Amino acid sequence: MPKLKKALHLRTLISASAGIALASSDFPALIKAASQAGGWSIFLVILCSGIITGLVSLSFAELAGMYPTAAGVRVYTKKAFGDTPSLTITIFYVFFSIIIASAETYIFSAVLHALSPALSARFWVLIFLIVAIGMNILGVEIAGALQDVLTFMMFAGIIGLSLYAIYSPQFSLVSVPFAPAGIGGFGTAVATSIFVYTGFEWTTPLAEEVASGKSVLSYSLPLSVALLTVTFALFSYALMGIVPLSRVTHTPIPHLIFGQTLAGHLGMYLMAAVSFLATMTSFNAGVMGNSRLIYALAREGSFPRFMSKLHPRYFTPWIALLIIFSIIAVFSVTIAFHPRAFLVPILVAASIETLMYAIISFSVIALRYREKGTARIFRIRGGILVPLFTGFVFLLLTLGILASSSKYVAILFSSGLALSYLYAKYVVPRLEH
Amino acid sequence: MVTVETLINTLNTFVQKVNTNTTLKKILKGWSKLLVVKTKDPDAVATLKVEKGTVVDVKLEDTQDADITLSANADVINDIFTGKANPSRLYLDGTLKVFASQKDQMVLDSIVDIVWK
Repeated sequence: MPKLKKALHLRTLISASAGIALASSDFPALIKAASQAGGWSIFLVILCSGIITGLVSLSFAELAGMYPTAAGVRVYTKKAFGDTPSLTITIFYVFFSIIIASAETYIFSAVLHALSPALSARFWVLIFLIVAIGMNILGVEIAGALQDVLTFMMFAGIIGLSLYAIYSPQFSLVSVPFAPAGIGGFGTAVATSIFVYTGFEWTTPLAEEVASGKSVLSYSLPLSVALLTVTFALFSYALMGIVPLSRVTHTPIPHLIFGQTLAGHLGMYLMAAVSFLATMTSFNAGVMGNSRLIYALAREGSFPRFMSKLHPRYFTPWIALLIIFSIIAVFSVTIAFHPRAFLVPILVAASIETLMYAIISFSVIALRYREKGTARIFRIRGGILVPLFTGFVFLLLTLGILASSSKYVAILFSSGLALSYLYAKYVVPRLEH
Repeated sequence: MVTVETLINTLNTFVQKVNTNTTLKKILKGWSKLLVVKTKDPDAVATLKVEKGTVVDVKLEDTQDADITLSANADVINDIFTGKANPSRLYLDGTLKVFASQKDQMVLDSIVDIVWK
């Protein structure tokens, strides 16, 4: 297989994967997980979620090696479970991406509001979306080398500040219990913390190495999960020893409060810079990927044809982008009007993400039987043991989040899934005809 | 059964349509790429050189400098380039594999779409 000119190396694959996953909304998600665990066991919570996410990354590597495509979810699930279930899952995944983008928009706007209190978070939501839609229609993408530098700066910033905090005289865990919420709280915290890995798998179609027959993906995905795990575990541990949990439980900007408590204005601005980079890398990749998935679904005939309209100069799916941004605007402005509800989209996204990981694991098992003859660049060892284990664990985690969160999380989750199914079952056949 | 000769004829016909399409000429004026088409049953490799939106060369050979690589069975590739099959559907099926930047994938898809509209 010939090489593509823009070859992506292992380092770039890791930085792209970890960079996409690291988002501003990860920080309140970590604090939510810490409050569910109840104490400094958040350190172990992150390790557990890192290990099971690392295991599911192997399933992504096996599937991407079989079908290297940007529309991974659609292809894997169609091959594994058939058209209607696959379309339901894909549309639900689009819904999931919009929910995440809405949470990210609001949380980054809250960061900007904290830096300039005279301007409301609602104002920043609108400014952010206008800038983001412009960038997306122009097709502005972060090049591989710049992605490496930005990701290094983000991770160096978080790890550096966390280590500084742990070795500073302010650090004290004396008054913090280990895991007062017990095993149930620990399990729910693991489920919530899966959110922080969201997007690590979006780099699978970027892997030129897949095209050339090498299994670099099988290293890059677990390595990026490991990098995220170490970073978030350190950050959570450091935060618990610097800021009382009660002070950051109900804020969308715990990372800024941590930075400010640790190093005054300098610390706050450092964390704001990390937040800016985190949002820039994750939001753009998410929205861009999602708009192209909608474009492909429209070209396929599953979405209305007008959604596949491309900008004549930049070749970006501008109609799909406008639709996505309109929905994000509605969701994020709604959150801005009800700031106490900012955790709802995060928990909805966490529940959908854990369900997706379960589905991906079960897809590997199904394809082991259905597509025995298809070449696999990478194959998980031990038969179906690992995907079977991760499939059931992630299914339990989905149920755990839904059972332990507010009713709005379950309502959004179930209505999103039901609408996706109804659309796939009844609307798509009419569109196709 | 699609033969290598059929494939070459199909590609040449397609190239002719691309090069004479005024809409494509306008929107692809800055697009210069090397496109490799790989097929199985029969095994074949063709390289299309595009310069400023015009396909200037079609060769039955591989290249190490491909910007875009399409890979599928010969009948699938033939159906795509004759406008009988929807490439997006085949892509979402996993039947057609495309290795390219996201933007180049979109450009290629719109070329096929405009040619067979």
